[in-house]
Parts: sequence; C-alpha cells; structure tokens
Amino acid sequence: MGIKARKRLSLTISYIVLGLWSLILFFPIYWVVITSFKSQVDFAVKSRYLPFIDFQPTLNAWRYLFVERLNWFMTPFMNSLIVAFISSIIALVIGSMAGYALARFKFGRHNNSIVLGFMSQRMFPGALFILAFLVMFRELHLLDTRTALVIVYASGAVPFVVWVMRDFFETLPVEIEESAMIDGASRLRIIFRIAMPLAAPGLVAVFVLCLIGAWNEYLVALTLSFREAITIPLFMQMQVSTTGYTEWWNMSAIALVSVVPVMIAGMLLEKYITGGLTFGALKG
Amino acid sequence: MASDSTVMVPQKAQTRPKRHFEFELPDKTWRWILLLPAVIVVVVLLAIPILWTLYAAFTDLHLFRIGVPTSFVGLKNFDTLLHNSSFWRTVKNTVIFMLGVVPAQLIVGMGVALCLDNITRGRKFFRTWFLMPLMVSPVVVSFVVGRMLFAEDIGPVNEFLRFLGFKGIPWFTNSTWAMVMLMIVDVWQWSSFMILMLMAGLQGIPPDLHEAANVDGATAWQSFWRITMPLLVPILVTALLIRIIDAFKVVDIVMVLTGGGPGQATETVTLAIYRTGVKGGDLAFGSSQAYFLMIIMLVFGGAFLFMSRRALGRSD
Amino acid sequence: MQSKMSRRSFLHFTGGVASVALLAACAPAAPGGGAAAPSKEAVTIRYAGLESMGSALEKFIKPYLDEHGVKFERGSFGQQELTDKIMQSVATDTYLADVFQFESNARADVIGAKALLEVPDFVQEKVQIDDVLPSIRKTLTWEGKLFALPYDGDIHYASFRKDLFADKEINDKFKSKYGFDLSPENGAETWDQWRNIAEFFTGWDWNKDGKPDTDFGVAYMTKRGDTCWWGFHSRATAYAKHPDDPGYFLDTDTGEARVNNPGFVRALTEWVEENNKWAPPGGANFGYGDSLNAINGGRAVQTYNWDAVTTAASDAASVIKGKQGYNILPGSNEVYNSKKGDWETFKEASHAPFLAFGGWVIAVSSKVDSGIMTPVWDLVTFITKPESGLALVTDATGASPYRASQFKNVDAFANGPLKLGEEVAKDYLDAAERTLSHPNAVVDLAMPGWVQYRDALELGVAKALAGEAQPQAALDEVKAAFDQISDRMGGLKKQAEIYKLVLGM
Repeated sequence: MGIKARKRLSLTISYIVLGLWSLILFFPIYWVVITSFKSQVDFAVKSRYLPFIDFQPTLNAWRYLFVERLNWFMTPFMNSLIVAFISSIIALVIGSMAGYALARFKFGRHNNSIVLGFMSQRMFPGALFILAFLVMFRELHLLDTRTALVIVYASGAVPFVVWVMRDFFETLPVEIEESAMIDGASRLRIIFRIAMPLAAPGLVAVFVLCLIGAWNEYLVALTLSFREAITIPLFMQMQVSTTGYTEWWNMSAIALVSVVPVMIAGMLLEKYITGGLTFGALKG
Repeated sequence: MASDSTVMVPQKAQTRPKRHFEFELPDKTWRWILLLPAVIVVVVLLAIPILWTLYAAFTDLHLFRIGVPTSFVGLKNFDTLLHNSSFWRTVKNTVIFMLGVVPAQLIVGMGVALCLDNITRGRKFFRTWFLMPLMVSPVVVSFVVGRMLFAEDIGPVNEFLRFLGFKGIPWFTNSTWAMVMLMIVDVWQWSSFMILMLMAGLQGIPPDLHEAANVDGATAWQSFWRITMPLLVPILVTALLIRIIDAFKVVDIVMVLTGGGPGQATETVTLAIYRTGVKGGDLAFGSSQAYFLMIIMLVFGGAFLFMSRRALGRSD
Repeated sequence: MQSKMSRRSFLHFTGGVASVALLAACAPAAPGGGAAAPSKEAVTIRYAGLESMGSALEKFIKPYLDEHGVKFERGSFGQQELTDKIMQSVATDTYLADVFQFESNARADVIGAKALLEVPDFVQEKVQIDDVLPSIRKTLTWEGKLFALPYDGDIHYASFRKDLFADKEINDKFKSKYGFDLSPENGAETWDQWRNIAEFFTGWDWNKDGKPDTDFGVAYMTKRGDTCWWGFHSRATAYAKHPDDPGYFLDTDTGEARVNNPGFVRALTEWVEENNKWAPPGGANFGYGDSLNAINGGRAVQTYNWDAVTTAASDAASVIKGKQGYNILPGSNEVYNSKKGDWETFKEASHAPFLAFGGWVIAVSSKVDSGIMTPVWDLVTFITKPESGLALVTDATGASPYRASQFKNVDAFANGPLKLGEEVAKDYLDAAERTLSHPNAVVDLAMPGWVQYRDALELGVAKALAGEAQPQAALDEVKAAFDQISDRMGGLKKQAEIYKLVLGM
C-alpha cells in the first residue's frame, strides 16, 4: 500500500468514526425536538420517528408552555437566568482579581500552593457541602432564595476562575503593563484598562463556563430551594407528574427551551470555551 | 489561545514571560486587596461547611428531631457506617460506575481525538459539535437520553435492538443493565470533555516528530506508542483525574434516571447522602457518609496519581 | 407578626438584588428594604400542593376566587418533592406557603415543629368536622387538637376483574384446580385465595389479545421511592397485625420495630414470589402508575390501590370500565402474634385493612401573614366544607371519600362526573367504608422520622424484590435501621409513646 492510499484509508476511517460519534450525539437532540411536537397518541403502540410521515406533529406542547402556563414556567426560568448571571459575574470579578494577583505578584514562594489550595475544592464531594449549606442558610434565613444560590454558585466557581485566569494572565506579556507603569498609570488603571481587556478571551471563556455550570447545577438547588427559588433543572424534575404518566411532549419543550440558549452560546464561543476547559489542565 | 490551533502547550515553558517584577510599596498592599476577596469567599463557603460537616459527623444532629438536644456521640456514626451493608453497597456501586465510565470515556475520547487530529477539513465543525453535550444539563440528558430513549417498551433503543433481532433490554428493571444505562448516559455526555482535552494535547505535538518517525519507517502504531502517547501522558493524567473525581460525585443522572433502583443497584454514595441527610434529616449520619466518600476519593485519586507518576517516571 | 412580615418582604427584596455583600448584611434583623405597604386591593394566598391535584383544585375554586377577589398562587410539586419540601421548610423554619396540602403521615413532624395553626372552632363548625369519619379525623389531630382539614380519604382496597370471575367456563376450570369458586362479588377472601387466583390467571390468553404472554394474575406498586411502602404493608397487615395487639409497626410497650417478625417475613417472601411469577415483566419495579396501567390495560387481574376505581372508569386510560369488583383487602387465617411469639389460627379470616397514607390534608401555615388570616381560613373552609368535599371526591381529582355523608350519597358517585354507575359505586363505597371503619384497621406510621423509616423499609423490600437479599435478611436489616432511627429520634421508649398517640391510645 502506498503512502497515498494509506493516507486516504486513514482519512476515510477518521471521517466514519467522527460521523458516527456525531450521529450518536445528534440522535437524542433530534428525539427531543420531534417529541416536543408529539401528542399522547404517538406514544401508544410504538415509537414514531419521522414527523409528517409516521406521526402528525402538533403544537400542543408549545402552546401549553408559552400560552397556558407561561407564568408558571417563567419563574424558574428567570431564577435560573438571574442566578447564573449574577453568580458568574461575581465569580469572574473576584476570581480574576485573584488570578491576576497570583500571576503578577509573589506571595512568598507560595503562589503555586495558593492556587493548589483553591483547586483542592474540586476534590471535595458536593455532598460534603449540601448538609452544611442547609443548616447555614437556615441560620441566615436565606433558604429558598436566589441569594443563597448566587452565594453558593459564585463561591463554587471562584477557584476555577482563579485557576484559569492566573494561567491566562501569565501568558500575557508583562511589558505592556511595565511601560504603562513607567508612564505613571496607577495599578488600578493597569488592571482594568490594560490587563483585563487583554484577557478578554479568557474572561469570556470562564464566564460562559461558570454560566453553564450554574445554569445546569442540580444538587445544591435541590437542597436549598423549595419553591420560590427553584431553577430550571429542578422544575424539570418536578414535572414528572405524580400519576406516573409523564407528559413527554411538555417535558421536551421545556428541555429545549432550557438547553438551546446555552447550547448556542457555547457553540458560538467554541474557541474560547475549549480553551477555558483545557487551559489549566495543559500545565499537567 | 486565540489561534485555531489552540492553546500553548509544551513550548510554553520557554515563552512564558517573567513571573513578576519589582513594584513599589503600594503593590504589596495591592496584591492582598486583589487576592483576599477570593480567599475569604473560598474559606467562608468551603472551609466552614467542611469543618461543620466534620463536627456534625461526631454528633447525633437531626433536622427533624424536636425537643431532644443534640449530643456528641464520638465515633458512633462511623461505626454504624462501617457495619452498614447498604452503605457499602452504595460505595461499591460508585466505584463500579467510576471503573465503567472512565475507561469508556478514555477509549471514546482517544479514538475520536485521534481521528479529529487526523483530518483537516471539517475539524472546526466537529469540534464545535462535540462541545454540545457539555452544555446540556444532566437533568435534561437523563430525561431525554435516558428516560425516553431507553424506555423498555417503546423506547427507540429497544426498538432498534428488536429490529436487529435481539430482545429488548430491561434497562430499568435489571440491576446490571440499569447500571450500564447510567454509564452510557454519562459516556454520552462526558466523552466530549476527554475529546477536547486530548485534542488540545495532540495539537501541541510538533508534526515534524511524526514526519521524522515516518521517514525512519515507523508504522502508525509504533509512532502512536513511541511519540504520541508519551507526550500526551501529562494531559491524560489530568483529564483522567478530573473524570475520576467527577465520576465519584455522580448524583444528578442517577436521581433522575433510576432513583437508585432497581433495589439498590444504582444508588451512589452521594445519592445516599442526600437521602439520609437532606430528605431524611439525619444530618449527622449523612455527614459521616460524606466524609467517608471524601476519604475514598482521596484514596483513589492519590493511588491514581501515584501510579501515573511511576508510569511517567518509567516512560521518561 | 411584625418580624415575620418584614422577613417575608425581605426575602422578596433580596431575591432580586442578590449580591455577596448581602451575606454580611443579612443578620436576622435585616430590615425589609423598600417593600413597604403591601397592596390592600387584592389578597394573595399562596398554596403549595401536588401538581395533579392542585390543578383540579384550582379549577374548582376559580369561581370562589373571582367572587372574593382573592389571588391564588399555586406552587406545584411532584409527590416526592412535596413531602420533602414541606419537611425541609418546616424543619428549617422557612416560609413555603400560606396554605398547604401535605401527607398526613408527616403530621408528627410538621405539627411538632409548630408549623401549623390550630383549626379555629368556627371553621370546624362550618366544615362540619363531626361528619368526617373518626379514622380520618385521627389523621388531622395531634394530642387531641385539630390542626388540619380533610381533603382525601386515602386507603387501599382490593380490586379484581369480576367479569372474569363471573365467567362460568373460567370458574369451572378454576374450581377443578383449586377447589373453591371464584367470587365476582368479593374477590379473594384471603391472601391464599388471592395467590391461587394470581397463579391461575397467569400465562393464558384471558384478555383475548391473541398473546398468552401478556396476561398476569397481579400487579403491585413495588418501586422504591415511589409507593413501595404502601404496596408492601397492605400485603403484610393481615399476617402481622393481631386483633388484640394495637401495635403493628412497633411494639407499643418497648418501641422495638417488628418488621422482621415471621408475619412480615412471610408477607415479603410471598410478595417476592408473586411479583416474580405472576406479575407483568418489570413488576418488581412498578411505580403506582405502572401497576394501574397494567390493570386498566387489561394485563392483570387483581391489585390494590387508592385510585383503582376512578382510573378504571376513565374512558381514555382504561379498557376495563365496569368490569372491576372491589372489596377490603384480603385477610388471613393465620396471624402472627408478636406478644406470644407464635402464629395463631383464626377460623374466620382475620382482616387488617391498611389505611394507607391516611390521605392528603389541608393545613394553614403558622407563617401566614396576620393580615390575610381571615381570607385564608375562608378559603380553606370553602375547600373543605361538605358541599365542596363532595364535589371534589366525586370528580376525577384524585381525592377519595372521607365523610359519612359522602358514603351515603351513592348517587353522586354513580351519576356524577365520575359516572361510575350504580353497581360500581356501591361496591366501591362499601369497600372503602368498611376499610375506614374496620376495628382492626392499621393506621399508617405517622411518626417523627417517618421519611427515614419509609426509606429504610423500601430499601430492604427493594433488595428482596431484586433478589439481592433473602426476605429474612433484608427485613433484619430494616429492623436494625428502624431501631437506629428510633434511637436517633429520641429513643425507642419515646417513639413508643408517640406511636401510642398515633394510634389514638
């Protein structure tokens, strides 16, 4: 076999593998989309796969969601939105400040230990926190409020932001800041007018990752919110009605509404996200 | 990292700028002002819960008990725990889950990442698409991938199997299959993480190394094991460690998909902690379980790091 | 009340402007921000309840709300979440709703935490509390005081396919095999008969769909975390509840759990066998809905449930409308006597119907705003007064009868919105009333720590059902867990005292 033929073979195999995996990833998404256009009869005897061909799509689920029960759905949706955004912003501000400090200043010889200290949070199981949080927020009278979720999510995301942003600041050339310093710029100015804008790609990446994390979090939300502050994942779980008959079509519509925004945001920012995800890890 | 070929890998060490430079006095203050908020937040919201949980594990604290004071019980909770077969079952389930999903994700991740590295056209498309599962909430994944696709009677997965002439699989009622289903769902969602990590690692390997090997007449197999793998090991270790830790913490997909059933076949430690501590109100016993889980994670994580260090040392 | 008010408005306030700074500022005395005068125009009453029952309720009270200008904010939960969230909010002293629906099994926990307001006399009078059956009234009271109002008289009763039992050809075949007649009026008198029937109806095509492998003798609710607790106990009471011994779950003197005594073990052993041999595939992991589906889809002959009668009558979900007979749960000729430590034989089968769940009840939170106290009690009165109660239990709301007057009103069930028909209505009401007023009926375990007891038992039973443990070993574990929980809740003796309270001793 010549080199060319071998190359072509390996390319073909690669595309087949990639295509197959793409398909595996695609099918569930396809399924939830078509299910949101189904109605009860389409679940009777067998699965229906193709709209218009083996079942007649209806807008019932979407009408249910956006017309009949909009208010009821908007509460968790807005909760998720508010909690995710506020907690991510807080984590970003606090975390990137610390990341900058750890990249640019020396804390004795302990910079790496401090970063490691932050990252050790990842080693602790979430279950270690939820019980304490339940009691802690009871004492603060903050159970079932968005505030509680914001606090938890923000503090949970800080170590990740520190980790990634410290690495990111280290890759930025320090010379720009030095020359600004010589020009007499204050440290504050340097941070917010020079360093932060330069770090924008990294900031976007961690911000979106924090956002997704908060948007999808389940265990803490389940523990800390009862009714007022329920988020989308909790809301979805609660939709499994008590009768044991699950309204798949409504569920699918809710799932799509909750997933599509983050999915699109994430995929549009793919370059940054991939960077953010793999960034710190590449240090090995 | 703004370039398409992603991130700065091995050469980084040389190009990395100076870590710091001399500042005048105010900077000494500045560095603390910048660092302290993060430290305070983390200490208050991570250290306090961790310490509180430790305290709770030695008491008989109960959320729903009324009119009976809390008292210290010493090691009683841990003693009960060690003699509790139901708890050990959840530990076993968690370890099995971890041992199932991590290698599977490694294989899928490695295969797909190598293929992704091999092609040029469409790479960006695939990379973007492969990011998708990471964006989707595990609860949604469980509902969609799990509850609908694996439905025993009219789920597409079983219909496909029957179409191929097999019998439908009792995904929810058979202990083994229920666990397999959970693993499939987790692999579906988290293989992408492995793909992205390994992909980034592969991109960092200078192509001329492979070319040189080709010229020397090495087969693809040889060049994979001799060149790619050793250079990939550091990122592989990190990626695996992260996945191992996350696999130990798994709870949301279990809660939504099987609720721990059938029987106790898929109940993980975290789910058991939620059941005891939050649902049942037994904060003390739940806390002792949480600490036990942490110890198990430390043991496994430490063992993994130790072994990979040794493997690394040998390959160097 | 002042502090409560400010805390509630504080929650609203902080919800919006969340920031870490608040963490420092949120000392208990934090003032209520700018949310000053609550609007006087419209009263808003906040309710928490099941999604399924809540939507029916909301529809029902709509005219009342419009008339009185009350805004009704309904929080809806799944069955599991509702109990969890009520328990957690009560234990953590967090506001959940003004009025809530909760399972009466949680009454010790909820009332003990002082989370409910006592029902005032004028309300008791208006809703005619004396009309409510004594066994249901028991689930509303704690230490002699009334804390909740009835909404749903939940009990388990047996249901069976009387059309098949009345079929002469089938009966002849059955009799030649088992030596007694199938009774279309009463179904199985004892669990032994029940088992014979289950075995007989498994594996041949009585539902005439052309396939013999879709026909089964029984379907149970067996799923852990779903309704396994009630599925199992309904099966076990006849063996383990001795008529002379008031205790069932615990020994009323020592507080020791009884769940691993021979009565329970026999029940579990048989239950496992029945689920494996005579129930539809997956039957050992059936939720409440699955078991009803199997019955209403004509795939199984017998079951017990809360809602067999109403779901069977639904045209959409059932193929067995009018074909089902009802009775109290089967009895047993042998009953285990824990005090003596031996089985006892009864000539007449001893029945011990299970008042499973005790029903959903409606209560007013002690966190209700003093300003809306009157409209809240008015609304609760409206929901639970006799006329409303009758309307709710005779419609497809999921609520079951609980008043003497409701049981007398056969016509409302027969020809009301449920359209059960005279025969079915009579049959069902008779079974339900006999269960509720049975002297040996078993009251559900409404004890502090009830959630944990339940979880422990369901775990053990599920293990046995999945074949992971032998019934005896599984129940031994449950017993140990029960005693541990009792210990945790303040000691076995203390729990024994509370158990006596639950039993009304």
